[in-house]
Amino acid sequence: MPALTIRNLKKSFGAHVALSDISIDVASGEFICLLGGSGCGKTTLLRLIAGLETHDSGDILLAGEDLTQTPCHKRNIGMVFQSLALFSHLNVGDNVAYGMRLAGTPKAKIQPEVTRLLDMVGLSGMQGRAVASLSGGQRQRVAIARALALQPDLFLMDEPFSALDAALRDQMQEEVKHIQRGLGITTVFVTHDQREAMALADRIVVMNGGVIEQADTPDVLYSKPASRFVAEFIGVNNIFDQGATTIAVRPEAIELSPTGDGLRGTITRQRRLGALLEREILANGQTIHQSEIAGQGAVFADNADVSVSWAQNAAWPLPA
Amino acid sequence: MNVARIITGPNLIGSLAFATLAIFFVIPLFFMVVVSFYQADPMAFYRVDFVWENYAKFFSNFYYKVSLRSLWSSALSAAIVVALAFPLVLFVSDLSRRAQMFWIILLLALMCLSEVIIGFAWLILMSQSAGVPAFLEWIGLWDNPRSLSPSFGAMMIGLVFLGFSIVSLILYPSVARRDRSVEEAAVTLGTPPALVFFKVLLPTFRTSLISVTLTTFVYLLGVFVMPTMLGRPSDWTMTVIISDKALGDANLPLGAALTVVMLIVTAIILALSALITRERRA
Repeated sequence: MPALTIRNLKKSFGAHVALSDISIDVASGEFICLLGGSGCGKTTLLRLIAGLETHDSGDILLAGEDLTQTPCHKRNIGMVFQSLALFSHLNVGDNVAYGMRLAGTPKAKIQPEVTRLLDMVGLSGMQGRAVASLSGGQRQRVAIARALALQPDLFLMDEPFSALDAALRDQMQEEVKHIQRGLGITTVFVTHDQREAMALADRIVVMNGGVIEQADTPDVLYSKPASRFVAEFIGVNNIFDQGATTIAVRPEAIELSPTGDGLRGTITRQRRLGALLEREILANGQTIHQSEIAGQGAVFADNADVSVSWAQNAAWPLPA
Repeated sequence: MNVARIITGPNLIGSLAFATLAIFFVIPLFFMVVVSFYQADPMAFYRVDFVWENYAKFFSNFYYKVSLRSLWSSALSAAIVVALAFPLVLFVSDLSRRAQMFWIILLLALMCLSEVIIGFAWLILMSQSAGVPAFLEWIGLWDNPRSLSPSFGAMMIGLVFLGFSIVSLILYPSVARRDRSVEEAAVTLGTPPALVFFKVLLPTFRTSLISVTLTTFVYLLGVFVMPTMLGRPSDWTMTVIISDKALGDANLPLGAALTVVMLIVTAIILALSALITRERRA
């Protein structure tokens, strides 16, 4: 039985349809990412699961139990908010212990549990510190420890790393993945960053306009996008309309040669990003993105005329 | 240091502020302290001297009681004002933008009303013939109505009304800007929604609430019109008595001495409160 089942879930705010007939199963211990742009409904879906919004129709089942009639404070769902929402009037230890104290956990059990959770998130010995004195990364860890303190049935995270710099974000992603794997907790993570989703998720749910465009593993999503939207959203994709069919070709599958009878174009931009070399080629009024490991392909001058081609099996047909 | 920095920089701005403070506050205060040691002279307000008798009078039973009563009524009304204003501001801050604007304009309008007009309005509302007592008689809830003012309760209503709009407007910006997800986080951690106010909102705003209560306390301590219009002579605060002594009895030295003592008492209370708040925060 899936840990979390969502069936035909609908939610509107006035005339605006935020979620339209959403259905998805999440397996026990699975890490899924809800990925999409602003207003696609990913945060609304997360808030409905948490019980912070009321749905219009549909079902949310947690381990087979209907959640929709259970108020938020009785759902036993741990959530990390985008703003982290730490209690500024409590220190680190009291933030983590908050839920346990409220649940009536004996005092003798709270202290060792707080210590264990803070050790787990790498904040050993920081129980007495004021929340305001912590760095961004440390605050993230407190929020994670607090959300996991009640051993929730489900762990929700709403763009928790959006305010962090790139290096810290990478580090926190790795740590969250490690903690999630260690606890085996079913996790739903909201992000608008496809790189973050790729790095974290067992399965990515791409949302657009209140519907699920595709829910698949990062590999499948990347190599076989189910729609033009997914192809474009999941990364830079070259989309070619060929009469009745539309195909998507990844930038790394594009091959360039100085001569040839394929599509002819002009290199308009070349830039080196670490080990990667990225090029933009203007051909028939369309910008084509090409990338390769720097130093492994032919060298072209800026504004050079080139022939653009790709292997047939690298082209993925998109539905019309 | 270059000239531009001297003219526009903190030095000049700081000295202007200091000069303003000195001219409008420190110098009159200094003059008042000096006068408080003069001899009273009904024919000329005061006679230059150096006597302690004005301060000695403060410790007589009457002035001592009046000062305690002033502190009590100001502290009580300040606490009531904040206890009423905070939940209202929370409620207003969660309304639509349009409804919030309505409330803000209403509170601003109330703040603009003169103390005298507010006092008269409450006098009429509490009068036997035209106000609440008459209404209660009309609906059959009060057989033998009498005027509700002057009384301690009427004076408290006036003081609370006076402070309410000011405190609400002081609290509104920080309450409206608060991170709502903190309350949501509390709920996801098992807090029943009805307890979020006590478990999260009150503790989060504790420092602001203490600070605004102290500010209101000081403000209400100096209010003159409400006690005279709505209170009985036995409810009158030190402000009324000081005015009565200084202007009514032409005893400026005694008025000055009473003012200095009240200033010192208020300063001690504020300093103690600040100390307690800081210790709790630490």
